[in-house]
Amino acid sequence: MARRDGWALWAGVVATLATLVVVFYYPVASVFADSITAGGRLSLAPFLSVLGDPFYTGAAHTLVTDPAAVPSGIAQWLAAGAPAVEFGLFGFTTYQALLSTLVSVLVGLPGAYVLARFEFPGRRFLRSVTILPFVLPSILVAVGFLAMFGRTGLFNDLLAVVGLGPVELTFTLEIVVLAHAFYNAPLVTRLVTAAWESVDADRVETARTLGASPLRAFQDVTLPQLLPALATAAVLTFVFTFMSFPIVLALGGLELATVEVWLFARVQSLDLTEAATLGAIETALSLGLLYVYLRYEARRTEPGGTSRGLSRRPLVDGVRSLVDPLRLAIFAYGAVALVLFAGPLLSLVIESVTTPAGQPTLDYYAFLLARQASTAAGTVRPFPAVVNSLLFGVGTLLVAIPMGVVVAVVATRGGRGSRAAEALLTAPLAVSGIVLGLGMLQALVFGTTLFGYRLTVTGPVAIVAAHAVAAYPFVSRTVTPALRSVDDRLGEAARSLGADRTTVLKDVELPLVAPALVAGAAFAFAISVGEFDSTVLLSAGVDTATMPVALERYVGDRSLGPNLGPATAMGTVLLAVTTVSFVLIDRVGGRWE
Amino acid sequence: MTDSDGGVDVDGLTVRFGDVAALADVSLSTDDGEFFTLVGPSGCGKTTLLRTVAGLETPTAGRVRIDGRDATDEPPEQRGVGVVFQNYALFPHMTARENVAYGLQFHDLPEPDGERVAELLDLVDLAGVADREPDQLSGGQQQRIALARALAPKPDVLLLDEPLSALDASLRKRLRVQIRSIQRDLDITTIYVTHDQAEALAISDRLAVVRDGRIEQVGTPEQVYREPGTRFVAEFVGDNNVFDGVVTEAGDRIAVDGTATLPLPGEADATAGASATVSVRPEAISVHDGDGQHPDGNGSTVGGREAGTVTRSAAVETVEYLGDAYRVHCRWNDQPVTVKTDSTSPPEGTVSLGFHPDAVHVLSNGARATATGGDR
Amino acid sequence: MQRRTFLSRAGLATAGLAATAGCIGDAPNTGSGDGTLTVATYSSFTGEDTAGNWLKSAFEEEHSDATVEFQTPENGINRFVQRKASGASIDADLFVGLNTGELVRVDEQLDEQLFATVEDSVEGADTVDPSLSFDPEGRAIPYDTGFISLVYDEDAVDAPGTFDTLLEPAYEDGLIAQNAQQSDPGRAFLLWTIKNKGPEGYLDYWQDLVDNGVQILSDWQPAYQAYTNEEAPMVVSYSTDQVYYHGEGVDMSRHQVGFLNDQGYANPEGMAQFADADDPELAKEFMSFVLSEEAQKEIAVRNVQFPAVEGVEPGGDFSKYALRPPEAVTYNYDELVGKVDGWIEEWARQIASA
Repeated sequence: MARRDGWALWAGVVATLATLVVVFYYPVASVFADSITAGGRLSLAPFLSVLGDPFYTGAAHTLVTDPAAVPSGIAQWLAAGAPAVEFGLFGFTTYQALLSTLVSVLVGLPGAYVLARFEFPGRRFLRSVTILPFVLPSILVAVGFLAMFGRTGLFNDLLAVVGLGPVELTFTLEIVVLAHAFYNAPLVTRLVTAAWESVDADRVETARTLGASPLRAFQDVTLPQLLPALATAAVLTFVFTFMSFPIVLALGGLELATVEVWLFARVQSLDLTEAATLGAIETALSLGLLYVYLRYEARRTEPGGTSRGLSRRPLVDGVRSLVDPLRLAIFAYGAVALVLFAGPLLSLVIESVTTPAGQPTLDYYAFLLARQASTAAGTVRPFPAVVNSLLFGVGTLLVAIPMGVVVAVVATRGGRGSRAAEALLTAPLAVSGIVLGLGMLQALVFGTTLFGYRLTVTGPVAIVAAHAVAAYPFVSRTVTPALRSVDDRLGEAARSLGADRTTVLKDVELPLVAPALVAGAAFAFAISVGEFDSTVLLSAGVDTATMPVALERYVGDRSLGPNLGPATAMGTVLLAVTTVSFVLIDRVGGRWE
Repeated sequence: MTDSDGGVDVDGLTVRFGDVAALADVSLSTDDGEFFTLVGPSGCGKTTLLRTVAGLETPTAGRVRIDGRDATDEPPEQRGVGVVFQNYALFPHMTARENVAYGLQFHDLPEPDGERVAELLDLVDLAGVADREPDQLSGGQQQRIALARALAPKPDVLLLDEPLSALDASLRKRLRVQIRSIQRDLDITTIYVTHDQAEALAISDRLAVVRDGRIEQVGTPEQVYREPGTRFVAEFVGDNNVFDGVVTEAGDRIAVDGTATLPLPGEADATAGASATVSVRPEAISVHDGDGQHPDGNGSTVGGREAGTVTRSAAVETVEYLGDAYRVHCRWNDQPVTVKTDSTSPPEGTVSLGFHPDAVHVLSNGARATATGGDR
Repeated sequence: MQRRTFLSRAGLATAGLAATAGCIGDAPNTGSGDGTLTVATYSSFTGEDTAGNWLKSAFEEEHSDATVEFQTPENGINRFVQRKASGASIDADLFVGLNTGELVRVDEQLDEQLFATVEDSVEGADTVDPSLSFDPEGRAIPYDTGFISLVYDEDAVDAPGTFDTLLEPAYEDGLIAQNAQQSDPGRAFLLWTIKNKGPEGYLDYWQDLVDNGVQILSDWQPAYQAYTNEEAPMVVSYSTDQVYYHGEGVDMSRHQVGFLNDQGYANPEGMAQFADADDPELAKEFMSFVLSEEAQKEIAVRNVQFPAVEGVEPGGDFSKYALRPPEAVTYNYDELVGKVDGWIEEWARQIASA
């Protein structure tokens, strides 16, 4: 086996597993252990107490407390005309996640259409920065959203210009869902754009010649080819928004609390058993969903062979094209996207140069310079934070890409149980960030006693490892389908020429999936740059502070009074640095495409 | 053959992609029920021409008429064409049956019992795999399903774009016979694109040789083979020997490579001293053992050939055995010459090659070309 | 970079990861009686221009052999409760920024003592305003206090005089409060309502507040930001609000302080020495220093809180703009033990189910 596969691949598998065990499985397991024990013995009591609590599960709690009464309960409910049923905190969380997923898809899909099917100046740039929202710390997004959609925000100003509004969106489910779309619609756009670009034009054209209108051809031929990517994006969006925490906390208010918000409160009050139980249920639901999805994905056959992509039409083709209904719809979509995506970011930048009274100011940037010059203990300085973010980002790339590729290779291998293995390896997506943070704190920062020594794992290497663990599922998720579609014969040809499995991967398969690899790399970098929780937990002090950490520190800084000016200035810096990074990644990666 | 009934008429078609002209002022016309092939090297524009007929490319200039009506501005779904692509382009999420049935819904062909689909699956001998998905079918099966799918809505015109090029040689030959017989049975106008000239010769009623976005020659396979209109056609279609030279004083020969000469056909109206290009098919050159050199060779009759044959001595370089014949690569002075002989043993050493004037075909220049057969 | 080189380097990086062990080692054992005092506190207490920074410089100046180091764990006191519970060492000498509720939680979570009783051995501890003392066991010593009140926009609403006023239609959608589960002022405001409506009546009162459109945001920062953005004309905040906002061109009408029922809820901040401190003496000296008049004035001004030591007047703008409530109310430790978690839990469930 080892001979056939080459040692490097196996070393990669071992290193990946070791990293996962140290910075993920062990910490998480140490938390979840609380959820299956009571009084030091294995017990289902914590689960039953959560699932049987109507606050958590609403009408479904009877399934646990009194299963025998369920049929009669349903009968009564039907007899009463099937009124609306409450399913508690889990029910509400699912509802808002479904809503968020729907809106993310509705917002993201037209974006993919425009990027994949039309040519216009700046298309490449736009494609590069699509996932920018992904890196933005939620505090920034929350500030941007409040500044954009608040009562006195830019959006209401714009509405007033055209004689509409004002609308009250703040602290409603609507704004939470919009913010979730802000984060996740780009994910939809990114994944679906890639799929759309690989749709076989011949199939679409065949449908047209058989008599299908453009719309029917889309529905019958293109859409089925987009579905896997769309499903990936939707499943990920659902999982992310189901476990969404900072956005709900910052934009939602307590009435809109989700399971994760509740879990956070449990951790705050050190009710760790209930926190662990909530986390375990969340993870079970998310992992179950991912598993079902992975099985669906594996059953699908990727269209292989050479295919000609659909050609792009110019977005603007003479003055007449500006008034055709499709172009008008696209421009209307562009306006919506501008409001939803550029609006909050622009508002953020405006906030960074505006006093609370609305006067222009550069004080907040002067603040950054002052912090840079400061020698006071405990001061987070902006420039080292930028450097740290970039270093960790690059470090994460170097670790997460091999990890993701290794997992992708294992996933494409097929065989019994490989779906389950893949789901487990995708688990970092399905575990609550708060649970992971808690686990890291207990297992890594406080340390674990092994052979009489108390071992702790902190510092830059641990931070990079933690970022890589959060990031590699994105690499493997983008690389796996691409790898699956590589013609097996290419690898076989290389093997027959004497290459071992690792060499085949390196010389044949990876170059062929380079675009997917680049997309995964961009995700990995984004995850690292935006990561906050484990960075703070594992950092030894202000020396390893990153941009989001600096930003969070400046939120609490009262030297210019209690306002978010310094944080927005830092946020603007973060925005600028990451935009440049993305364009660079895309350009460098583009050479391989 | 009028332009109004049946078939496809293309008039002054130009298709530009940016600065590149994929088709430059192309006109041609097919007959109703004709099997018409576009053949040429890759990138010559033949596929663009097919796609433009299908409505998949928009012409920069020119008109397309299908079945007598102007279809230039019609979208593909209204043109009544069936297209088969090189990569089959089967819908991967549908079974073979569903693929074939797909077009029926748009053509007012109600399918209560699936009769039409069954008929077509029978037509391509694939009733047995109707419920398989494309990835469970072999390449040849996929191709036949693609053909059945294209034919199902009863199109006026069938357009085939390199439909066999992804298949192995023997399967390709079998399938092209099957395609041809189905086409005859259905009597459907067919435009077939291929880069394989042998296939083009084998399958077509007429063919057009396309090069650099222009039509080089149109004609029946026999016309194109025997009387190529240009040097390109002569070299592209079938094996050929092409010689450049100068017409001799007497006007009945062409001096190739200085002193060595070949006869010109009687009807060639040649101007002494002009440069000329001629072609001679390998199988039209006779081969005999030994040095049969007769520099002027006038009147000598060799090997039962009629009068006028001139013989030239050449050295055998390599011999290919073809089963029913040998292909012999020789060198005559400095000229490579390929000949084909059905002798029972391979020639070797020095041989004498016999050129009959009627076997020599004048391509250009100093001599007015013989009729090229292409009437359009 | 050549693709091949890049990939093999990337491969190397993975291999290197197996050596994450590079940073595995014994837990850092800071502050070993070498004159280093490790002070754990919240992050905004440290850094440029803060009370923490001033304390460090001034204390080090007075004790030339001492060095003050700050530790700002993200999860505050919980960090040390969890360390203690999991058997990890306590790597700090002193905790600064402890409130009553947190001390209750510490004691409910741990059987062992996290903090040492120091009241009698810290010089100046007896000068602290007794009404602020919240630890009957004399571990936590208050060093400053805030008073929870409302801040309102007098152009938009009249001064809300009482808790009941807030239920009137004029105040519909008028108030932004904070989540008592994780916010200091939020918890203080909740306790204030319990103080007034009683443990039996507060949930009904809150139901009425919710019906009148109260918004409960996660923490003070977003709540105040929302108030600044004019999402509502009232916000739960501190009575020191105007200290930040006075000055030329500032519209003070948006910074009016409202003491409901003529009360303010006192939320004293305390400091406590860890029982496992490496240098308890230095810790106590530091605590004494914090209670000195000079330090009390500086802390008040820099931390924008009232001094805890009786009779200290920070003077200047602070005394002019920091408003003391006519009556300060608060729950002490004994009143909260065994009850506060339940009160907050019931409240949060009711709001979240709304």
